[in-house]
Amino acid sequence: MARYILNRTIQAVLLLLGVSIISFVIMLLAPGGPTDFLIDSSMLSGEDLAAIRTAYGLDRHEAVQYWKWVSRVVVGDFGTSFHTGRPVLEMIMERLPATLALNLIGMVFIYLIALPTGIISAVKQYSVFDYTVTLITFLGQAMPAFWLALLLLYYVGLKVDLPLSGMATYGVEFKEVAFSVWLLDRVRYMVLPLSVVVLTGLAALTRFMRASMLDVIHQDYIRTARAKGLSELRVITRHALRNALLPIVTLFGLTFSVLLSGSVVIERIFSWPGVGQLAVDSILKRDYQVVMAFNMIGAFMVIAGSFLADMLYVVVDPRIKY
Amino acid sequence: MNLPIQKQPSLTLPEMPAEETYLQGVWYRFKRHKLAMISLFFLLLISVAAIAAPQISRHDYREVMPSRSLQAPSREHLMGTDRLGRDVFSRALLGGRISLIVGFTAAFVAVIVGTLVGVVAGYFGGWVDDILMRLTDVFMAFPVLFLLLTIAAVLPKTVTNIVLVIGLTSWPSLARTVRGQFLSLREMEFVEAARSLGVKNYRIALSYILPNTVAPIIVGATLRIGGAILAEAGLAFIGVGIIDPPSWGSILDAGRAVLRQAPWITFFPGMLIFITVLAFNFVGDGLRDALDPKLK
Repeated sequence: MARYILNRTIQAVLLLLGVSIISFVIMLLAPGGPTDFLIDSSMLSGEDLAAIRTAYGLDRHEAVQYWKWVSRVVVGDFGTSFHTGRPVLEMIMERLPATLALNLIGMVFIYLIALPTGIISAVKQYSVFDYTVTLITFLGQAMPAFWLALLLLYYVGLKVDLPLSGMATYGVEFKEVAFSVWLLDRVRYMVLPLSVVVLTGLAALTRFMRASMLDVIHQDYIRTARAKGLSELRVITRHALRNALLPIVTLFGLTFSVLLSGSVVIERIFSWPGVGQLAVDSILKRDYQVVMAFNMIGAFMVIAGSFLADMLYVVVDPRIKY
Repeated sequence: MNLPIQKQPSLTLPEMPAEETYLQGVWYRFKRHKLAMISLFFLLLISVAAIAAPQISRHDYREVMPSRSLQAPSREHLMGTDRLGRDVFSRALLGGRISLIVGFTAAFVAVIVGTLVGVVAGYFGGWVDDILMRLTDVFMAFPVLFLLLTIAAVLPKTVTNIVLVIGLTSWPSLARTVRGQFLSLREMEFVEAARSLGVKNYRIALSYILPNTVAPIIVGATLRIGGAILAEAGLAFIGVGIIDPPSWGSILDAGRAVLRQAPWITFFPGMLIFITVLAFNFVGDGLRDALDPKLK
């Protein structure tokens, strides 16, 4: 076990190193550097630009730049933004709560709806319910999130008087107004973006749950359970469900990074002040330091997620040993 | 989908000749999947429309008619007009061309790279496999959207670049599938037989094992076409997609600013993306059932 964890940790470090090199190279190959996007680079003389480049270390050899960057990241310092001059981590941290709120609440809804739907769909295979669910999941998987968001904006948001952008009414702060007023305000702002997050996220999990349950239902031990006269309810809930839920643990780990990057487009449409917007803005402005931080944190979450899933699997499935 | 097999001796199936080839069997099974058949028909239709776009549309997609700005759909303008008075229908037809080209070619790139990596890793195993799979892991560890955006934002917005960006970010899972198939197939007797007959390595990989992995590759390819169309639309929506000639995504994005006055500019291209991706997914599903009857 300890050996396995050590192996995985070494692998994770190597993976992160790979990701960091690739994203650094992409940034280097990009035509136009961050200085091209300063407020008005045409007003600066060549000497000024050179001075700025020296100040940020952009005149050093690429390998040196990379090395300096990596050695700072290791201790949790992602540098300062070219554009705001503020520490990158601080910029990300202040945006994080909005994104986490949206995606965490979204995830709760997705699991609450998708798991039962998938299970029932599998248990009642070939029923009208099953066919309907299957069809809807197909529709859901083909639905472009941004289109759904715009449809909701137009057909719901404009008709029902919901706020269309942002996250809160100015001045409505926690502790400054009654809790119910604060809650209602946040809920009203969240309804539309959350609907998009949930509706577009449902399909995949429902299909996965259905497939996993179908897989289990056809196993011999289910036949055995039935043969020894257990009630169908007991067979499904005790014998089938517990096994069918196991792969969900893996899926949860693999989609862990969705918490961070799952709502980029949605944040953009609803002007949700989260990390997704910051990521897109930084990419468009070539704010390398911020983009690199996003790539690293995103990759870290993917790797951590799959590690977490494998560890959880040992806990929930006694057959697995490392 | 599995139908219970019932023996009905009096009912012989005229479509099924006694000795059918593999392809005939595939086609026979595919035809039973109604949604896949309808989807296939729709895709043919939309491809023809995209190819014949200039002949079908009454207006040039660039033709600016300020007097007709933001007109609702009518017989003259089936999908209305945009802010510059350009005919949305003509733009959508041409947009279909771009979106489909991106979809097909990006999927092609992904399948070539994914298959190549999977074949080499799966056939040779050992350190070759180790290196290639770690590389695949790195690409999988990247948050795909960030990677797509990062590359798309720094490159000029040409069709080729967008195709390469999408294609080169969507191969890893296919590589894993192909590798997995190779790992199990290369231990089979027919491979051992070929090897003992002195068949060369590359021939065993390409003409003995590869044909057996065709089903997941074709299904993966079909699903990736829809995926690539969605990805391009997403990029266009964020402002790093193909603008001239427009793709469906960029028409939609341009309509966002006037959503309140002219919802049709966003509605129709979005609908086209939705139905087209849906159709590719149904065809992929039908192919999965048809190509490998053993799968469920």
